[in-house]
Amino acid sequence: MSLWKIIAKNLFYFRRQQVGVAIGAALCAMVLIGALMVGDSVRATLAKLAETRIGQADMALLATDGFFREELAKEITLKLGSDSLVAPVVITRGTVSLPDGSNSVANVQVLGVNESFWKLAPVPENTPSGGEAEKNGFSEWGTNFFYANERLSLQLKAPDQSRLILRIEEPSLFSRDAPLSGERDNKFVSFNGKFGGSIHADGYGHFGLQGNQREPLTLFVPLKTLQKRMFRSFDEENGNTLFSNFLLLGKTGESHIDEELARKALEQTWSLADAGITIKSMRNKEDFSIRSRQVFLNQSIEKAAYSIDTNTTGVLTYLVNTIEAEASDDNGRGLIPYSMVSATNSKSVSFLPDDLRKDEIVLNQWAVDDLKVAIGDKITLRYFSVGERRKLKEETKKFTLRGITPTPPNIPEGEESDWTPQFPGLSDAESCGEWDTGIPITHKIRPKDEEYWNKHRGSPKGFISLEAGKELWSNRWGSLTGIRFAQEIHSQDTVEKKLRNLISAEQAGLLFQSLRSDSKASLESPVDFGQLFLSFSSFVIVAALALSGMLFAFSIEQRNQQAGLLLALGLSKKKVRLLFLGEGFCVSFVGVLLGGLLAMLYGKSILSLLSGNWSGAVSGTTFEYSTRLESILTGGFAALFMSVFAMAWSTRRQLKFEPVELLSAGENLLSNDLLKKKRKWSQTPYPSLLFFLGASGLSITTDLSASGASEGFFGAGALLLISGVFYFRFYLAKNSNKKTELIDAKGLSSRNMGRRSGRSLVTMASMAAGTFLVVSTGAFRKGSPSDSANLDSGTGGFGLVGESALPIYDDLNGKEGRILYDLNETLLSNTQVVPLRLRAGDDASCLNLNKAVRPVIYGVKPDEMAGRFSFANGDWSRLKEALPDGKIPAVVDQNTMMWALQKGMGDEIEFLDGEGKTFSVQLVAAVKGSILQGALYIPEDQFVKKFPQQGGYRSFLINVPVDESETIQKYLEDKFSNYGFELQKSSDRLLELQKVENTYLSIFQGLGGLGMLLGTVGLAVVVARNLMERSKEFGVMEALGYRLSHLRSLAFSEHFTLALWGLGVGAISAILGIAPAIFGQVGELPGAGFIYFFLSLVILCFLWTKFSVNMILRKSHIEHLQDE
Amino acid sequence: MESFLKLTNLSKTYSSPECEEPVNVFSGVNLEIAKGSSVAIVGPSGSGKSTLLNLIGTLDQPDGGEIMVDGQEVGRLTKDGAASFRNQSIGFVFQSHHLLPQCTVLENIMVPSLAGLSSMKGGELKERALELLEKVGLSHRANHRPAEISGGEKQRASVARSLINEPSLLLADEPTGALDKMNSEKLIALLIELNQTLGLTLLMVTHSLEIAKLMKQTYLMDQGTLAPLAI
Repeated sequence: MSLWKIIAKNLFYFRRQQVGVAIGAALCAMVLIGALMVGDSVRATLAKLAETRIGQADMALLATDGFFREELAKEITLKLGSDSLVAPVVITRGTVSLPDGSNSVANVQVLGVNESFWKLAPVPENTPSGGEAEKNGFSEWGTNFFYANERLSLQLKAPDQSRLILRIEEPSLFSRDAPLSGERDNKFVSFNGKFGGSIHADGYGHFGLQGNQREPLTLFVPLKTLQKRMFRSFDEENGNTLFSNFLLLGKTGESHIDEELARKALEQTWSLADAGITIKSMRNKEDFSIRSRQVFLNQSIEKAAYSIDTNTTGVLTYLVNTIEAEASDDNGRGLIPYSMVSATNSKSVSFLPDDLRKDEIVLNQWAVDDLKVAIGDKITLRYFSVGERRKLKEETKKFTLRGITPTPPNIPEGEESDWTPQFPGLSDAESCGEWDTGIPITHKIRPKDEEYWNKHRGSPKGFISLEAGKELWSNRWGSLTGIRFAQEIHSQDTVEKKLRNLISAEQAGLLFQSLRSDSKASLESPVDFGQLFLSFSSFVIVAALALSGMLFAFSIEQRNQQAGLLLALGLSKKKVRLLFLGEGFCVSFVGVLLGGLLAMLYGKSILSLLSGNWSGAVSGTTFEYSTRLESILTGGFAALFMSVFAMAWSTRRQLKFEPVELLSAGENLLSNDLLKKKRKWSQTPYPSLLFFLGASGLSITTDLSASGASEGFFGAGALLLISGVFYFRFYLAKNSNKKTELIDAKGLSSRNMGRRSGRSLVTMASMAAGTFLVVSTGAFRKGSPSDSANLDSGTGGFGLVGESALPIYDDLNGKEGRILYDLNETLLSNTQVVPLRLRAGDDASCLNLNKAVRPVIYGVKPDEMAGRFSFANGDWSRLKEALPDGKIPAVVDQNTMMWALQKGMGDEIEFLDGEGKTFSVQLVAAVKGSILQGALYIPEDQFVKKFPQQGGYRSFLINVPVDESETIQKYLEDKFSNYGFELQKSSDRLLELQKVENTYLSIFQGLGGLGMLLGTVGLAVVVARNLMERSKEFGVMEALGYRLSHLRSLAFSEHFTLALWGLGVGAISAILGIAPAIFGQVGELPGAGFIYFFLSLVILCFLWTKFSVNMILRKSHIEHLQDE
Repeated sequence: MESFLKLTNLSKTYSSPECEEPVNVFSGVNLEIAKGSSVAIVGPSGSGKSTLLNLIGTLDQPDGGEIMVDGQEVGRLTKDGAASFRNQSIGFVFQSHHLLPQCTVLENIMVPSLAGLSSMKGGELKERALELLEKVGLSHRANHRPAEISGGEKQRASVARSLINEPSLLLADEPTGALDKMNSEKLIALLIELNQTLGLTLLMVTHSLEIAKLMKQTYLMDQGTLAPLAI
C-alpha cells in the first residue's frame, strides 16, 4: 500500500470533513482568479475602446497655429506610398441644435471629413460612405448631410432627415488676444444640414484624440461643406477654402504607418504656406520681405531669417492712436489720428539716418506738414497695448523729430504699403470708416486722413528705431511684422528654400501625434483593476484561507490518534505530515478547480456590478467579459499554494507531540501553551509595542500628499492592526499562564480563550482585518458638500463651474467686457467670473479610466485663486515662484497627482509647447479633494508664453451667492449660448467626482463585507468546534450544578469577547490609521455610516456566536459523561 | 433507621435507534440508606450501576418510581432545580477526574462554587478550597495545572472539588477505575475518612469487591435488580 493509496482512502473516508476545507480553497481561488479576470476584462475592453477610437489611423498631424493646405494630405500620401491613407480633416467645436429649438447640444466635436477619413474607420463598411451604408440606415454621403455619433444622436433626439443647425466660430487668422487682431466679437457661422444617421462605434463613432473610454459628442460634416463655411474669409481673393487643420494618417489592413517615414514625408512636403509664411516682393522692386498671416513673426522664423543673413532688415509696423506735436490741442490741431508707424533698422534704409536713436523719430512730409513741426520738435506717439483679457491700455512715448522723409508713393487699390502687413479689419478696409481693428476709434478721422488712406493706404507716417519699436510693441506672438532681404544680395527662391530648411515642421506649428502609441500608453490605466480587485479582495482571501486552514486543522486534530498510531508504527513525522498535507493538497486542488468555475461567476458578477451599482467607479463604462488562460493558471496556482501553505501553517504543531500523547489524548490534545513556564518572545508585549511604535512612526513621517500616502496610510493601519493582534496574543498567553485564582465564573471565559490560542488568534485577527478594511474605507466615504460656499472647501467657494466650446477673450467682470457682451450689470453685481485658459488634453480625473498621456492644462492667475481650496501641500502663491531651468510650477489636485498621474510633490511632467519644444511642469502644490481634479494649473503668464496660439478663456469658475446661482447659471448659459457655454453647480461637479471615490469605497466595503461574512462564519465554526471539543467538560460542569443556561452564557461571553477583540482592534487600528484625515490633513472627515456598519458587524458576530452556542449547548452534555 | 436516601420502585428504560423496543435497564429497584452511611454497589458491566448513580445524582430522570434524598423527592426536578440540587447537595467523583485543564488545582476545586448558587465568595471560598486541598493532601499542588500532577493527585483533587459546597451525599462512580493499586487505596482511604469525619453519606459504584468490603453496606446490581450482598 503506497502513501498515495492511504491518502486516497483517507480522502474517501473523511470526505465529509474535507468539504469545508475544499470550500475554503474554492473561495480563495474564486476570489483570486475572479479578480484577475476582472483585470483582464477591463484591459480588453479599454483596448477595444481604444481601437475603435482610433480605428486604422496611426498618426495625426495637427496645426497648432490654425490650418494648412488640404493639398498637404495628397503630397504626404505620395511620399508614403499608395497603401497609405492620409485624410484631411477640419476639426472644430460647435453647438448643434434642432430648428424648432427643442434641443441643443453644446461643446460638440465637429469633424469635417471626406471619404478617406471613413476608410480609416474600424469597419469602413459601416460608415456613411461604406458598402453597408444603406443597411445601416445612412442617407447618401454627400454635401447636404450631417451625421452624429450615437451619444450625440441620443442627446439630440433628431428624427431622420430632420435639419440640424450647426453653429461654429469662424477662425481668425491669428489669436484674438493679439494686438490689432481685428474685430473684438467672435465671428459665428451657422449653417444646416439634414440628419443623415447615427454612427456606431465601429463606423468611427468613438473617434477622438483624447485617451478616454467615454464616447465624445461628435458631428460629422462633409469636409467641403465645413471648409466653405469656416474658411470663407481666408482667401477671398482666390475664393480658396481648401484648408485643413488636421491630417489623419493610417493604412488599411494590419500594417501601420512607420512614424519615422511619416515625419520624413512631412519634412519633405510641408511648405512655408502651410505655416502661414509668405515671401512678398516689395513694390520698390529692390527688396522682398518675409511675412506671416499671423502678422507677427515668431521667434523661430526671426532666428532662421537672421541666420540666413545677419544684415537683413527687421520691420515692426504698428497702428498708433495719435502722432502729436507739442502744440496739439483738444480740437485736434497738431494731432494725426490712427496712423501706421514702422520701426526698423535705420542703417539698412536709405532714407533714414544711419544713427537714428531710440528717442528719435522720422516723419514723412505729409505728417510734418499736418503737424506743422520742424526738426528737433518733440513728437508724442499714443498707442494701445493689449493687456490681460484684451484690456486696452493707452501708452505714450515721446520722440524728437530727427528727419523728414518724402510723402510715400500712392498705393494702387487692393495693395498695401511695403512696410505694412495685412492687418485684419484694416488692410482690407476701403475707407477709414470701415476699419475694424479691435480698438476703439475715439479720435475724429478728418477728411485729409481719409484722403491719405485712399492714396497711400497703410503707409507709415513715421519711422523709429527697431530697438525702440521692439520696446513698445513686442508681444508674445513676435517682435517683427516683416523681415526684408535685398534682391541684389539674395534671390527670393534661395531665401525661401533656406528658410524652409531652417525651420522644422514643429516650429512651423505642424505637430505629429502618434495615435497608436498614445492609445497603447493610455491603456496603462492608472487603475489596474486586476490588482485593484485583488487588493480589495485580499481580506476575503485571507478570511477564506483562515477558514480553510482552520477546518483542515480541525479535521487533522480529530485524527490525532491516527497520527499517533502511524508514528507508533514507525512512520517518520515527515511522512505523516506529507500524508496529511497530501490530503490537503488533493482537497485544495478540487477546491481550486471548483473555484476556477466559480471565478467566472464571481468575475462576471463584479463586471455586472461595475455596469450597475458600481458603475460610478468606471464612469458608466460597460465591460465585456474576457480572460486569459495565463490569469486563470496564475490565480489557480496561487490559490493552491496559499491553501496548502495555510494548512501547513495551521497544522505545524500537530506532530510535535509524542505518539503516546497523540494516541491517548486524541482530538483533545491541548497545545503546550498551558504548560509553558517561559513565554515565547511573540507572546510578550514587546512585539505589540514595536508594531505600535512602527505604526505611530509611519503615520507621523508619511508625506500624505505624496504618491506613497496611500501605502503609508494602509501601512500605518496595518502595523497598528498587527500590533493589536500581537497584544491579543500576549493577552491570551497572560491569561492562560495566570496563576492567580479565579474570582468568578466569568474569569473562566477569558481563561478558556487561551486554551486554543492559535485558533482564537486566527479568528480574532481575521475579524480585526475585516473590520479594519471595512471601517477604514467607510470612514473615507464623502457625502454631499454642505460647505460649498466656504473658500477652503472642495469647490473653492465657487458656486458654478463650466466651460465654453469657443473661447471668450474679455474680462467678464470689467465694464468693457460687460458692455461688449451686453451683460446685465445689476444681475451680475454679486458675481465674479474667474476665467481659466485651457490647453486641451487628456482628462486626468478619476472619471477617465485611461492613463492621461497629455493631461489638460489650465492657465490661472494665482491672485484670483488665493485663499481658495484647501491644500495638502503648498498654496497658490507657489505658482509665482521662479523655478530653475525654465520649469513651470503647477498646482494639482491631490487625487489626480497620486492616482491618475501617479506622481508626488516636486515631480515633473513633460509637455510640448506650441512649437513642439519640450518643457517641464513641476508639481509644487496639491489641493485636497476638489473640483480641480483632472488637470494641471499653471500660471497664466507662463501658459500664454508656451501656448501663444491658445487664445481666450474656455473654462470658468464663478463666484456667485448660493441663492443666485441658478438664476446666474441660466442667464450666462443663455447669454453665451453661441459660445457653447455650459455651467454646472460646483457642488454637483464635486459630487460627480466623489462618486468615483465613493464607489471604490463601496467596492472595498462590499468585498470587505464578504470577508467579514466569511470571518463571522469562521467565528461560528470556531465557536461550534470549541464547544464540541469541550462536551465532556460541559457535562462535568452540569454535574457540578451549573445550569445549562449558565454554561451557554459563559460560552457566549468567552466567544463574543473574542469577536469583540477582533472588531475592536480592527476599528481602533482603522480609526487611528485615518487619524490624519480626522485631523484634517488628508481626505474628508468620516461620516457616521461607518459607525452603523461597525454596529451591524457587532450584531452579526453576536448573532453568529449566539447561534453556535445555542446549537451546541442546546441540550445537556451529561450524556457524554455516561459514555465512560 | 432514619433513611437519608430512599429509592422506591425505581425503573429506567432506554430507547435505542437499533432496537424498536425500549431497553429496560432496571425496574422495581428499592433502596434505603441511612445518613452518614457508606454503601458500595457492585455488579457486572452494563448492569445499570452507573445509571442508578446518575438517577440519584439527578443527572438523569427515572421512568418510574421515586427518589427521596434527605426527605426531598429529586427524581422529577426541573433541569434548573436538579442543577441547583446537585450543586448544593451532591458531590460527584467520576472515574475520570474531569479537571479543567486551563485552571489550576485550587481553581478547579472552586469551580462548583462559581456556578452562582453558593454563598461562599472570594477569600472565604479560597480558604475553604485550601482547607480541602489540605484534607486531600494536595496543598503543595494548589497552583499546579492538572497536566502537571499525577493521576492519583488529579483524582484526589476531584474529590476535593466534590466537597467544596459541603454536600450531604457523595456519589463516586468507579473512582479508582483509572488508578493504580497504590493510588486506589489512598483514594478509598480518603473517601472513607471523609465519610467518617464529615458525616457524608457515601454511595460508590465499583467493580472491586475489595473496595466494596471497606463500605458499611454492599449491594449487587444484576439482571435489573438490586439486592444486598454479604461479603
